[in-house]
Amino acid sequence: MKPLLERLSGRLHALLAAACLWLLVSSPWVGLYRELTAQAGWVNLAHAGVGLLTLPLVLVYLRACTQGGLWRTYFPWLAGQWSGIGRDLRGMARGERPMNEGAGLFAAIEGLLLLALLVTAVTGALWLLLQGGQAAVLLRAVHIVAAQAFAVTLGAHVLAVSLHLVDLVRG
Amino acid sequence: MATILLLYSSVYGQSRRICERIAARLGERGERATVAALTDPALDPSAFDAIVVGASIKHGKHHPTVLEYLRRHRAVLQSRPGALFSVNLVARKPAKNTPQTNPYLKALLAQSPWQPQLTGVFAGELDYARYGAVDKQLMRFVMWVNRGPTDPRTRVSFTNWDEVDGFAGQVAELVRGAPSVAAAGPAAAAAPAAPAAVAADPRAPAPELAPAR
Repeated sequence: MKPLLERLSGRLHALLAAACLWLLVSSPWVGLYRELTAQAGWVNLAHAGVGLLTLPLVLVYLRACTQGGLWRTYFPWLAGQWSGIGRDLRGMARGERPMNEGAGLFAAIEGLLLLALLVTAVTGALWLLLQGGQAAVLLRAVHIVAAQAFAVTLGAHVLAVSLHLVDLVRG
Repeated sequence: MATILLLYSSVYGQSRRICERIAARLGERGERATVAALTDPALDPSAFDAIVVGASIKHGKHHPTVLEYLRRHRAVLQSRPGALFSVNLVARKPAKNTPQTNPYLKALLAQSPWQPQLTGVFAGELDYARYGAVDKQLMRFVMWVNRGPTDPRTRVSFTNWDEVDGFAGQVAELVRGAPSVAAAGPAAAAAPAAPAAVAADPRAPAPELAPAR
C-alpha cells in the first residue's frame, strides 16, 4: 500500500493548481491594502478565503515532496548539488532539452515554484492575522513580490511540463 | 546459496510482478531472493549479496524515490553485484527495447550515482481502467500519436516474460561471480565488487539484456 502522502500528492497538485489559477487570474481585481473591511467585495473575500485554504494544502504538498530525502531532488542547491542544473543549462546552450529525471533544471524550477507559493501563502495568512497595522502593509508588499515570483516560476514550470509532454508523446 | 534483494518501484504493480518472476526463477536456481518495495524502511540492503532494482515509469519519468534510494545506498550498491531495470511502455517498440536505446533507462543511468553491472528494459502493461480520468485521456492521446491501442477497455501486458526469465539467468550468473556476504564477512562485503562478466544466458534473447555502459 502506498503511503498516504504519496497517494494524496496527485490530488493535492490538482487542487493547488485550481486554487492558484483562481488566485492569480482574479488578483488584478483584488483591492486589499491594510485590512479586510466589511465592505470588501466578493472578489476580495474569495481571494482571502481561497488563499487561506491554500496554505495547508501547500504545507502538506511540500511535506510530500520533501520526505525521505526527496528535498534533494527539488532543492538540489540547498544540498550544494549544482551538477544536474549545470548539465541541463549546458545542454540547453547546445539546443538540447533538459532531462526529466533527477535533480535537474525542471525539478529545481518545481522547487522554486513551491517555495514562492509557500511564501505567498504564509504572508497572505499573516496579513489576515495582523491586519489593521503597519505590519500588514509590509506583509502585503512581500506577498505581492512573492506572488509575482510565483507567476514567473509558474510560467517556467508550464514551459517545462510542455517540453516534457512533447518527450512523452514522441515516446 | 546467495541472498538477492529485488527492490521495486511500481505504479500499477508490473515492476513488482517482474521482480516476483525473477525471484521465482532465481529460487529455481537455488538462490534465495527477497522481493520488497523500494520504500520499505525495514530492509537493510547491506545484508544481501546482490541487489536488483526495478523501476517503472509514470508521466514520463521514474519516481524520484528511485534516484534518492540509489544516492542514499550508493556505497552498498557499489560494493556488491547489482542490476537495474526499467519498465515502460516505450520498450514495446523494437527500436527502444534495449538499455542502449531506451530513452527512460538512459536518462535514469545518466542521473544515477550507481552504475550497475547489469541493466535491462522491459515493456510494461497498459490498463486504461486503472488510470485516473486525466491520465487515461493523456495515455490514449500518447497511444493515438504512437499508433498504439486507444480503446478505453484495453488491458494488455507488453512484458515479454521469456526475456524476464533470461534476465533472471543473467542475475544468477552475476551473483555466482561474486563472493557471498555471509561467506566473505563484513570487510569483504564493503570492498568494491569485482567487475562481473555477465555470461550470456542461452535462453535469453540478447538484444533485450545487456551489460551496463
